[in-house]
Amino acid sequence: MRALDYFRTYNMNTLDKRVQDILKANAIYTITDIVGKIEYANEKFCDILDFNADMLVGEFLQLFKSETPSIDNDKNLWRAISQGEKWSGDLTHKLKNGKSVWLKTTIFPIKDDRASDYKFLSIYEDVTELKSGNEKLKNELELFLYRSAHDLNAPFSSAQGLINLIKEEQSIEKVQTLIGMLEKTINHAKVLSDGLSSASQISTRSKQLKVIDFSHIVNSVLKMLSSNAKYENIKFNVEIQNTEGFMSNPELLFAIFKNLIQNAIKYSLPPSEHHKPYIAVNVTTIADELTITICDNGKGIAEKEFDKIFELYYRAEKEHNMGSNGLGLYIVKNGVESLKGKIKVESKINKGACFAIYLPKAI
Amino acid sequence: MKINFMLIDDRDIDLFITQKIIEKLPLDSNFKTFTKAKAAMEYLSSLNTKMGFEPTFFPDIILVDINMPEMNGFQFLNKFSELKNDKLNAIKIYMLSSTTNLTDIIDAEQNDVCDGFISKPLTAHRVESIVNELRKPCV
Repeated sequence: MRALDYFRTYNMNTLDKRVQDILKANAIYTITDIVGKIEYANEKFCDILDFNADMLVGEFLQLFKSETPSIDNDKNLWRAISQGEKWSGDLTHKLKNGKSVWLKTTIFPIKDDRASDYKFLSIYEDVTELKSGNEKLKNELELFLYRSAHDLNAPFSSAQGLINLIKEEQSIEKVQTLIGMLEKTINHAKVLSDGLSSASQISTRSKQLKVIDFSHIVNSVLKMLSSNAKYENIKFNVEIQNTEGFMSNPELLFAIFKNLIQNAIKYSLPPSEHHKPYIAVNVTTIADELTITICDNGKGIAEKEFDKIFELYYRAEKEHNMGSNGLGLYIVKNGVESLKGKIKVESKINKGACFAIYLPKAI
Repeated sequence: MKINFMLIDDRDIDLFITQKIIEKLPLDSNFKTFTKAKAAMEYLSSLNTKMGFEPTFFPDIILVDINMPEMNGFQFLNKFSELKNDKLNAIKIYMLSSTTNLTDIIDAEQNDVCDGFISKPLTAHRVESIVNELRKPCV
């Protein structure tokens, strides 16, 4: 801001050469006259917009459209700057190659000592990447809402159908069977709505950092999942070392452990003489990174599915029916990403799966 | 008249419900059910190549769900339209879904191959209307 104050109070022509050089090399800016004709555009500006500086000078700076183009918006911009007030907003411009650039723009009206008219110094920040990130998020959110609405509706439609059948059924025995199916359907709806509520909390559970007690988290998760019928068959091996003082978001970590361990239980193979199902949870610090591994000897994941499993609403081919909501690993991946970490998976069909999460010590 | 129904839905419960509702009607109905649209498609293609022989099951009406993994209802319709065959063209196809998405419903109604959209759960009344549609003489 120092440099800008300097700009505003001193004659442009006497602006210290060094300040000018710094601005030229680092900022993105233009100087236009009162009607918007470009007097100067620095190289960075020309680079971003793919323009030739010589061509630009003397042209009118009407390149941009505001985010929500409207007469009101344009009026506001011109009213502000013609009265000597600064204006800020996001402007977009379509490049020759068809792609759009987004520039966060601030326009400062500056008065030349000798002239009575204003000149406008516009300083830009390239926010194209940020904007496209938001677009992606918007699509993801749309998909999420669309699929959620459908997925929640599906068991209710089934329930309606079953109730219609129950109403007309005379045989008590058959009614019992139908009620059993109704119960299953409603449990499925419950799984979905549980998944949805924890998914929706990912974004709201922001950056509350606390010292993490991993034993406590893992034990609470195991306690919570112990009602699962398969739980009894599995040997759990939990090892937690060198995690003292690790700061993170406990709710996100809980969601990560819960979903991964839940999957490991769900996809465990039945115990037999030759097969002892186990789930190994390891947490340790390796070279400034907290490493969490959750490994099992269950059904495993085919290699061609590795990329897909983290996608929203992806379900393994044969497991798309009951008890899977297609949200679990999506929640895990999003949780890991919001903690600036990485997740990897290794697996072989019928040998087991291993998920490894690496979290930086300081977020 | 015997009516052959092919039901395609990834949810077993919905297949069961749909079949039960149709069975309650005073119709002579036969069923073939698929939990995967791809498998149903393979069956239909095999009918296509088996021309001349009398197949064991030739559907009169297909009820296909929209939201299914791997191949969804619309992808199924697209594949079906590629099977050029007069006999197959006589099959009535309806989309049977619990979707509330208006775009899906409009897409289904406007699809050339699809004869209509039916909202889940299927009702006896709706079955009667599609069966009457089938019995209508060709114009």
